Amino acid sequence: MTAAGRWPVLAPGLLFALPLLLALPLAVQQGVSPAAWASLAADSQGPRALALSVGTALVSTLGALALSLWLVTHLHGTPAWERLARALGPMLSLPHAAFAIGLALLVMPAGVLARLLAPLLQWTAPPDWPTVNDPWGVGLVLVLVAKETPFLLWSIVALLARPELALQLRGWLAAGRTLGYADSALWWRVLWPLLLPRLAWPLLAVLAYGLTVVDLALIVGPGSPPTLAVLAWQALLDADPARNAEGAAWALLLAGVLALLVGGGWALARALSGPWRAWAVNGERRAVTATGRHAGPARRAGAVLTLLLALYATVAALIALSSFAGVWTFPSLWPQSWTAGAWAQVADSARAVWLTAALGVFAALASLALVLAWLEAAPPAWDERAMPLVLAPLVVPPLLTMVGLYALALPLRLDGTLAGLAWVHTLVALPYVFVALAPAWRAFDPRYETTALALGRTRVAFWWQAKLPMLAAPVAAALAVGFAVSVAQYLPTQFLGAGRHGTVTTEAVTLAAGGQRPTAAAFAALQALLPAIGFGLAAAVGRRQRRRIGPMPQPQAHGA
Amino acid sequence: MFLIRRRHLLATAAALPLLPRVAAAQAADWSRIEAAARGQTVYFNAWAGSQRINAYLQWAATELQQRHGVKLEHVKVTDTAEVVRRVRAEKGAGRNSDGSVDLVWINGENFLAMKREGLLFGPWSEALPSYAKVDVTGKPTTRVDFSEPVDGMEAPWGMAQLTFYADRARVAQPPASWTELLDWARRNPGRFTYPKPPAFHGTTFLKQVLVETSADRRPLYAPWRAEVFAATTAPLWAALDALHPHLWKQGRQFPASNVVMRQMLADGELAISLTFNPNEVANEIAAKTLPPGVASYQHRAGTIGNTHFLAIPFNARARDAAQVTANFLLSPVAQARKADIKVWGDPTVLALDKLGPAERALFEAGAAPGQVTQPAPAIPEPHGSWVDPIEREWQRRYAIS
Repeated sequence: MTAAGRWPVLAPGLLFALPLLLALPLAVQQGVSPAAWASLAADSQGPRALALSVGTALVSTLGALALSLWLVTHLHGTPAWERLARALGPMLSLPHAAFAIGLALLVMPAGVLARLLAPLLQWTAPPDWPTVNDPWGVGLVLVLVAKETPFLLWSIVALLARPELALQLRGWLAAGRTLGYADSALWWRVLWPLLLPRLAWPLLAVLAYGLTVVDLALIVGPGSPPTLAVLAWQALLDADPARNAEGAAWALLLAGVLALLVGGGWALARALSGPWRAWAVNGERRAVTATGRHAGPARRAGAVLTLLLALYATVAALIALSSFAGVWTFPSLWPQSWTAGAWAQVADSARAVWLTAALGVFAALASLALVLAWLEAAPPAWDERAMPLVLAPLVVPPLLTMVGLYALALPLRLDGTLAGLAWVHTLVALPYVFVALAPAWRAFDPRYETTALALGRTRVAFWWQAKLPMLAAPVAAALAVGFAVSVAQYLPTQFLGAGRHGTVTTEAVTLAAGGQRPTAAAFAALQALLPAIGFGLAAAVGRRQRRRIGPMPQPQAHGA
Repeated sequence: MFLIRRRHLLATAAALPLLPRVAAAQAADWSRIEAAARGQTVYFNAWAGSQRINAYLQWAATELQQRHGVKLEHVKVTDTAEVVRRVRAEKGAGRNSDGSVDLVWINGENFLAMKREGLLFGPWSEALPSYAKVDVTGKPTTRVDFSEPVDGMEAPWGMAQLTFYADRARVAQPPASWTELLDWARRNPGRFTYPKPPAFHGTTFLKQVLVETSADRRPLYAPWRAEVFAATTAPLWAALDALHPHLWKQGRQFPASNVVMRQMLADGELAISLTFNPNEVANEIAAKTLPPGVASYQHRAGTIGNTHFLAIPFNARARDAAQVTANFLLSPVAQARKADIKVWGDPTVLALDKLGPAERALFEAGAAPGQVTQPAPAIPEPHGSWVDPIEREWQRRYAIS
């Protein structure tokens, strides 16, 4: 492609990057006041809050990573692998906040688990369990591990689905087996050292999310003190401008801490790579079975996968149940009275449901258009260079980004308008759409195009009639991801919408703040249902495509 | 309609022979405001954590459209401080008209902040026709918001008073004073707590303990001064030090809000909780979110009470329609519906003896299960400037478990 043909890159690049590049300095500027840093240093909650943030983020990231690697190591190539791949969509589509609400209903002191144990232990009042809002962040870590593991698994499955890797993988495993290594040994010694660097971005996103998340920390996180992100959020919402500056300073501090952690992680990975390589080639191996794997770990991994799926199903069921529950006193296992009031309120908020859907569709389509323009116009090598900018919104504390974007929208009169809302939802959804679509789009074999051109078709005709239909499944999946991201937005909707445009998520969070459990559960259910519809449609497109044009090279095809 | 207004004017003129010109001018102004309001949209920023409040505002929107041609849009807010922040940001960006907020539900420190920073339109509230029937003598907090003079910058909307409630199945004799509460907590460890300050109800509980344990309350009703802070608040910290070991989680953790506490009481985790709406429990029993055995009560010597208000930001777009909305929300019809336990149960700011018999009849309703049976006097809020220092000191002492 010629340089002149690359001008379309400018459009998506500028539309996406310019607001962010302008917004961040605006936000930083609000957080550099010396007075704010002084009162921050004087805040006695600071050190504990910081320790909690770093601790919960690190433990949950490492926990989710270890669990994902262990599951893939022992399930790849077994019949359970298909089950895993199929279950990821539904697990991912359950929004974090909804999952946290449901998990709390299970494990809190007056939750279902305690109610099950009550007759055995003769409890008449809820036990003093540190499971939710506990001072060490155990509840928060539990939710993060349970929610981030499917995301990492999805990243790994997507990575392994790349045709060039799927082929190599099969070769390596076959070669290793002939040398007498079990599959699990090969994963740890050969495959993970090669694959892990390519999981750096998803891992970074998981770490950043754990460090800066506000809504989850409010629902299940510690309260005395809360995490640093919650302190920042509370200060930013305060009526006092000095406290707002303090909030911006906390948010900046979080960004700095994240940078330190990433730097430390990178250094640690480099330091470990030598010893790991030495261990990998030390030649020790256990006797293996004919299938190349040990039955025990595979069974255990299968059981853990079942447990994870059962947890998600229980959480979903509890959300549905408590949206109808009236009075439900401990230790009764079943509500004493029922009410449909919560769903009546959902019916009253029909406009919010439609607005959520419309915003989600717009944000998904608009970011898809921008991403496709980029992918068609920019050479693949630029992707890596653009990555830091694309992932900036995932990595910079969203609070900071929103402070800046709001400051930017105010003089443009975009605040409180649907246009402003659609714009910010597109900005937020775009990185996810890019990450979801780029691998499949880049893996598309360029020889198809050469063939089409050689047969005398135009590029446009080839694009519409061959390339887009062949990539319909990943495009549909990327749209579903963008839609789900838009549905889950709280901060951008509240900031840019000036509170005027209620969505399912803002309604859920406002009502949860009002503490109305049935209503919060009803909106959590809705918040889960909308993305589920999106992912369902995407899956249907994928199935239809497989039937129509035969299977694309898939890792699943190589079997056990 | 013209005739009615004339008759009303004549009556006013007869009663106040010295003021007919002022009254006439006000009435003329008011009809001009009503005319200008027609067709405007009011973005009413109001806390939306309660289904009942949202439903009441939907009713008000229908009435306003029919009666005055005003469109009322409820902007759902989690925390009123968000609105203060937004108006301040708009002022900072030089937007002196066409602001995003037309009317805001407000009181206390948020009002103080907006008044001091010149973020409010006014004075306007005392010129509202409905204001004549507000109980400014019997309910002095309608003119003094957290010890800050209202000065016509906001219109009173509803009354609130700190009210405790207990699950009578587990609390035979509800403790009706601070000493009784402490004693009860000692005997029933882990079954009471209060929302973590700066959550509104938690801070109010601190003020309640402070006024009940103080020998001299006077400094609390003057603006805060650093010199008197330690001595004035010492009884509060001594009281809390005594209470905390007997609270839920031994006072090392606190729930986020009073609504969380209500849920914990419904679950059976707590036996006593608190609210600012004397009718909330009756409401919740009717809505099946609290069991019927829960009863409300107030401390015998009185509990902290205040008024919540409606204010118009300086840069409101629909200033006229916002005043028409406030005037309607202050009318006997709207106030009576709001006070109805089946609707919202928010006590009225009007003086019932200023109303005609037909209007007064609107307020008559039977007692509902869960309601306060023996109302205690309302103790005015300490000056708003005390809130922040008390909250900060609480954070310093108890926020880290």
